[in-house]
Formats: sequence, structure tokens, C-alpha cells
Amino acid sequence: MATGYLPADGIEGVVVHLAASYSSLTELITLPEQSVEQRTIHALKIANGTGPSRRGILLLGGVHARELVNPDLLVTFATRLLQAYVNGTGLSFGPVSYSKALVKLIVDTVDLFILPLVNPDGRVFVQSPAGDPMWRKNRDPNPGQPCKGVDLNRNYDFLWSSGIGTSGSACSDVFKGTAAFSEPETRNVRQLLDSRPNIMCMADVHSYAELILYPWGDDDNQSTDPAMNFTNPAFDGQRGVHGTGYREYIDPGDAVWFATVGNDVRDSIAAVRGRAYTVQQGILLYPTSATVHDYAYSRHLVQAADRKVMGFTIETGREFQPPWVEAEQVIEEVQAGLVTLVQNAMCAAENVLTGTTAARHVDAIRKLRDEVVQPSRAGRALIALFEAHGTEIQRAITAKRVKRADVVRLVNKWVKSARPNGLATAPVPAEVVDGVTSLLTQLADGASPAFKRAAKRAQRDLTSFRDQTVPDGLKTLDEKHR
Amino acid sequence: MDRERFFVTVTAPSADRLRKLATKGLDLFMPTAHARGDEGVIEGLLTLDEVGELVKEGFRVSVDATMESRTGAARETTSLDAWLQAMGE
Repeated sequence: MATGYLPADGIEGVVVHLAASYSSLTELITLPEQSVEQRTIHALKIANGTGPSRRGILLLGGVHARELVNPDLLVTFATRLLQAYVNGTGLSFGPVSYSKALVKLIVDTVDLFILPLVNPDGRVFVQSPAGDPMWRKNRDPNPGQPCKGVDLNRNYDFLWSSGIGTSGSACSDVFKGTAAFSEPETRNVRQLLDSRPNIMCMADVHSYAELILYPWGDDDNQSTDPAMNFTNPAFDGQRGVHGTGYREYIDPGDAVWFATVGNDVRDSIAAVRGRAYTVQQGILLYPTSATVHDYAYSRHLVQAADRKVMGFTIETGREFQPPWVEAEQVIEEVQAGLVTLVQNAMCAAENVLTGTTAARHVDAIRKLRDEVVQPSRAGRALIALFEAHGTEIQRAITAKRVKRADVVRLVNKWVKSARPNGLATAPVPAEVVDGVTSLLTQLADGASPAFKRAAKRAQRDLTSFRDQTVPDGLKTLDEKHR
Repeated sequence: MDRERFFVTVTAPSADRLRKLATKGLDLFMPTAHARGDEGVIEGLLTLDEVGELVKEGFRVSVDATMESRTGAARETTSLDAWLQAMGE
């Protein structure tokens, strides 16, 4: 292990080194804008292969300058993942191990984007003898103002104008800037999300307090009144104000996903050396606005064409700048959490079928999903079920509530029955439909109420596919639900 | 005015009083905010003048550490070459 924190140019140096040393597995992404003090910022993409169906996961660090450990954590994670892949090994963090099959699956099927140091100017200032070790913001000179710096995690376009948990004073540590995305560092993150539309999950790694936070941050969550949401001007002035009755709408499936995945990440971290992180909604006691995890998750609600990005903030450790000997432990335990996060964000089918005789059919199933199922309204609903509840499905299989072998047998039977025409043109045998229906019943047993509801709906819909081709079944459903 | 800063823990008589602290422009570490019974608790980095003001307003403030005692690691750095070597690169 290393012996101390890397300086800002060292973090950048690791990214450039990894891109050069593992050139077939990485892409060095030069972000379009330099920092306020003209530093070039790079992200690293780790992926073996390309393709439109790969899921993207984004990890951010070094947003707040004084939170030193996280950029080191992210470059360590990138390095170890690449080493494990190339050496054909698994990953171990203390007593916690992940298999070489999982490492291979991650690199072979996921686009992992790592931007370890969003705010290099701030880190330089924190680590400089003439600087301030407790500096939080970027180093924007804020012309005409008495103080420097904008809080980058209050500068995103999520209720930016509301001022919830932010300040309009440049001297405040939560100064939100002069406009949403006034800062080049936040524009870089937006550009990454815009230009890599396959990103569907992100974690912004901060310090400290040992927390795993998820949306929303502006007010308490609710899943009963979709009209009560951040885009509705009728509620302006009520959000983030204690006692107004306003609560922010979150899709119930997403709420389950965030809590389930957050708990998995928490458990993985705890398994390394026993630190008990807390999973909770981002509001804490203080509402906030214009943070990156809320912005990322809100994008698909503002612009329907944008992909839903499930955003977390992880608050690592118990202080901003632990002595290095403790920092190493934080780095070790949170890496385990990151592997688990990535695993949960991966496609459930890939996760379940990898290493089995049905693994060779994943590409054909994915093709069917993208080209035939996705264009149909009913098809999108079925896909959404598996995306929203993939974690629960995997968990049921891990817990052996559902036998992986049964899933594999069913997939093999379906693919075999479709020969030689292919999955899109051959009728789906009734026994395969019945098998899926039965699996859904088993999966729903012990699952969340949201999954139970979704599974029941899916079982009703599946009857339309009995001895019908997938396109015909979807057509029937689309007409039925019109 | 003394600008030396200290790591502190601020205890408010209620979570609501703690929430109102957010508007004061103090360097309070929001992720550390939590309820303890009826009280609200948060950590922060304050000058002694700021501590005095809070105490006058009815908050309890414990001064936990000097800033220097918890920021030495900021300069506990390594070089890129040493880091890469330690990582087996």
C-alpha cells in the first residue's frame, strides 16, 4: 500500500498512468473544461469492449477539497480492478472477497467511469503550506465578491434557484455560485452525463460521517402523490421548509432499489472491519438543493429522453483527513462497498447467467430486449420491472429462494425452442411462459411489496406470450393497454 | 478578531433550532447532523468568537480539537512514483 495522500497532480498522474498501462481496457477522457486555475481534468473509463447495451456507472471524488481520502480511494480502486482483471484474480478487502468471475464480468460488461478529482484546484490549496487545509470549495475568484470559491455540490441544476441549504454569499462554505453550472468543474460532470447516456448509476464519494445517502435531499420522500414533485411550481416555497406538508415524490420501485442497494453497500463495508455505515435519504436534518446525486437522478424527470441515473452520495470515514494509517482502512472498506454497488447496478440477467451454460445466450436476449421489447410500451414496462428489481432478483437467487439452475434450464429451453428462427420470430412455448410465471411467484415470496405488485402485473401480461411470438405478444399487450 | 478555528460539537435544544443554524454561514458539517433525543447535534469548525455567539444564543458547544491537530495528514503525502511502486505498478 501507499504511504500517504497523493497530491493533486499525483491523482491525475495515476489516471494517465493507468490509461497508458492498460490501454486496451481503458479510455482516458479529457474533460472539456479546465478548472478555474487552468488545470486539465481527466476521467478514466474502464471497459473491455464496447456496445450500446453496456451499462455505465460513474464514480466521482474530490468535489470538496478538504475531503482528502476519496480521490486516493478511487484511483486505488481503479488500479486494483485493472490488476485483478489482467492477472485473472478476484479482489479481496480484508476478509471480504469477490470472485475473479465477477471481476471479469464487471470489466467485460460494464463501462466504469471514474472521475477521481473533480476539484483539483481545491486539493492543491488544501495540501499547500500556504493554503488552508480545511478549504471546501473550488477556487473561483468570484469577481466583485469578498471571498473565493463556489461549493461545487450546491451548483447543479436541481432546485438551484430555491436556495434550499445553500447560500448566495460568496463567503459561505455552501455558496451556490452565480447560476446553476456556473463552474467549469460541474459543467464537466454534466458533460460526462450528457455524452455517456449509458450511465445509469453514480456515486459521489465525500467525507465524512459514514453515511450512504440517496435522493431526495430537498425534502422528505413520499410515493403516493406524483404531482407533488420538484418540477411543480405550485409547491414553490414549500420545499425544504419544516411543517409545510410538502414531501418529494419518488417512484416506489426506485425507493426500494435505493434502500436495498444502499443496504448491500453498507453490509459490504461493514464486513471489512465492522464499521457501521448508515443508509438514509439525503435530507438528513438539513434539506439541500443543487447536489449532484439529486441532479443526476432528476434528469430523466425533467427530460424524458435522458436515462434514469440512480445517484448515491457516500460519506466515508470519521474525519476529513484521517492519519494515513486510518485512511488506508477507509480506502479498503469502501472499495468493498464500491464493488457491491457496481454489482448491483449490473444487468441482473448477466449476473445470474454468468458462468452457467446459458451465459452464451445473453447477447441474443439483450438483442431481443433492445430491438423488439424496448420499442413497445408494454415491453418497456417489463424491462422496467427487471431493472427496478434486479437487485431483489439476484438476492433471491443468492439466498436460494429461487434456484439458479431453474432459471438456466428455462433460458436454455426457450432458446432451443426458438431454433432455427431466433427469439424474435419463434413462438414462445407455453411451458416456458408458465415456467417464468412460476419463477416470478417464487421471487415475489419474501420480496418487497413493490416487487410483489410488479410481479403480479407481469404475470398477467405474460399470458399474452403463450405460443405467440414476442412481437405478437407485445402487440396484443400494447393494444390491450391502449 | 481571533480567526483560529477549532473542531467543535454543537448541541441545539431541538432539531428545529439546529436547522435554523444553517442560515448563519458557519462551517458546520451537515452530514454529521443528527438527533439525540429532543436535541440536535452537529460538528463543525468554528472560531472562538463564533462559539461565544452560539453559547449566548443557548447552544451547547464543546471544543473538541484544534484545527492543526486534525489536519496534519493533509501534508502526509507521497509521490506518484512511490505510490505506483507501492501498488505494484
